Amino acid sequence: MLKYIIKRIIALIPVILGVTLVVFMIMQLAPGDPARMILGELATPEEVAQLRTELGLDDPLLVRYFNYMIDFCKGDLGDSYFKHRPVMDEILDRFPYTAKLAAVAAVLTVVMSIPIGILAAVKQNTIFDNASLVVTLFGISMPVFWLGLLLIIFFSLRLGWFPTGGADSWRSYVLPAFCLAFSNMSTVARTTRSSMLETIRQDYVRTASAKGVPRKTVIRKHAFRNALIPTITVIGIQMSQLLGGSVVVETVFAWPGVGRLMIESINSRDTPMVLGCIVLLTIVFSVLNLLIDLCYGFVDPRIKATQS
Amino acid sequence: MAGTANNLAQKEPEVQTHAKKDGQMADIWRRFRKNKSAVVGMIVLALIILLVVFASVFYDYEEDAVQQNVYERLKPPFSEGHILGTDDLGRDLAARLLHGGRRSLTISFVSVACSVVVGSLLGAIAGYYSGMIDNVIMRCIDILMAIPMTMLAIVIVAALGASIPNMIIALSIAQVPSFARVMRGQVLTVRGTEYIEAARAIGTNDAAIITEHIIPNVLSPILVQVAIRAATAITNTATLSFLGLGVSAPTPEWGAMLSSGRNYIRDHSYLTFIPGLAMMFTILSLNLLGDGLRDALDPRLR
Repeated sequence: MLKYIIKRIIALIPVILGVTLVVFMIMQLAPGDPARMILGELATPEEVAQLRTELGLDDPLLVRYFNYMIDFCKGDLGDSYFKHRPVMDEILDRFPYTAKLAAVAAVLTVVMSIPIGILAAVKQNTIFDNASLVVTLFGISMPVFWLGLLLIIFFSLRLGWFPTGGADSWRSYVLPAFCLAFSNMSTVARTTRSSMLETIRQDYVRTASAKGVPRKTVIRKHAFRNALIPTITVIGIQMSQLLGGSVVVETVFAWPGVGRLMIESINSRDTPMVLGCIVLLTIVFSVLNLLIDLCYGFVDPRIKATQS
Repeated sequence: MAGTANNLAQKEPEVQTHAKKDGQMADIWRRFRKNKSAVVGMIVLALIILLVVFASVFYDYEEDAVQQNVYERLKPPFSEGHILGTDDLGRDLAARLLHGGRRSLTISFVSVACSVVVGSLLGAIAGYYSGMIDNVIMRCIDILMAIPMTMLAIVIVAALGASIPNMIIALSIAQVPSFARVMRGQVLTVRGTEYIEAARAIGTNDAAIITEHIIPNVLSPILVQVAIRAATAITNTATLSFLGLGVSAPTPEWGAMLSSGRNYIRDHSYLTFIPGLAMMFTILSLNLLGDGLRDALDPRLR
């Protein structure tokens, strides 16, 4: 098992290298001269040329990438063009906010959607089931930022229950986390429901019922665990999408996280910052995926066998 | 009588093959039709597409969608002459909705079309040839998949500049991995079958095998993926515009309309509500269509 984990971690490295290369190259396509942008309109050509040499902007592309990666391994992601701070510091300041929001959204997803999915399956074709199907259908079809704006309209502006943005109190977490989680909750609830329905129809569940085991125990001990496997797969996929969604949600709710930092940096053409944000988010994304993959081994003994 | 029997015997194989081929398509269509929500989705989508394609019939582009009219600004829905109201620059919202839908849907559908072609080809080649080619292609796909899709699209548009062609390029690149993966999986499954072996034994060249035998048989999952990806493409297009990385003013587009409506969210919430509603219905119908297709094409139920 340990060998498998180490193998997977080592396999991550070329992916991260590849990602940094791809994003680095993409960012080089952007027009505009960073040195001129830093110094401003009134700088003389000599000053611009000097800054370019200092920043190493005139070196060949691969040399620049190489230097960037060497610094990267030392933990230095360069300095922001505009904020006059190291990129790493800025990102580390903001990352806890993104992480906290994503964590709340993740907990919300798991805690709310699995029970709802199970209940809908157990009470199939009742009003609860049909209602949950409709609600989840809207959940997967709603654009995230529209949902966010709707939540702001109703709960912040009309009812005044929650703030429209910022990250001041616990109240600030509610709307953004719900917004981020809603589509994930819908997908997970639907998957749980259909997986549960399939499991309930299995022979071993019927046997347990026939033996006289009370319905609730049947569901809890037999159906639930096996139905959970596809659910965990989906939860895994959704968790990684939380990161992508956080970019939008943070912008809508003015949340001081890395996603919003990335958008701001893009708009101000702060290339080192954008690079740093993406690389960091990609690493987190990949590590999350790895952890989730490893989780399958714990849940499904069949997969554990193939893993070791 | 003998002659008739002979005729019947000769005609029979012909009738059989026709009936079989038609039978399969008709079968799928029949199963699809039974699924009421899928049919509703299809009808709603068709309606939206029709409205959007014929946008110019209802509202002239220059006059209604772009021309600013300060006297008419911020009129609420159901006002005179403006069934959905006007925006902050006096432009009719319904006109902008229809014309904006053109842009949103065009960008989404074209990008999905590009990704299907490129992704399927890559996946097919990777799956068919295996070995080194497969490895190289899949490593590249893995790298692209390691970056969350929305972010990848954002970065590409940020680098290339915000414009409709660049949005299409960015979204296409971001969606290629999904199709490549599905295609590769399907090809790997089909590759070992006997009729492929037979085709190779006759000496059919590889390109012909891929195009004539493999691709037609793996179309079903790809079709389902297309519907699903189209739905996410619409969201991603709107997201790009919403973040300011999409079309530039005054071009109407659903995401951009949402973004500019944000400034008036307190007192004129319809500016954000209505374009979002249009988006939601389009995505909803695409999701229903995709679900219906998946159920109708599912070989297990055949």
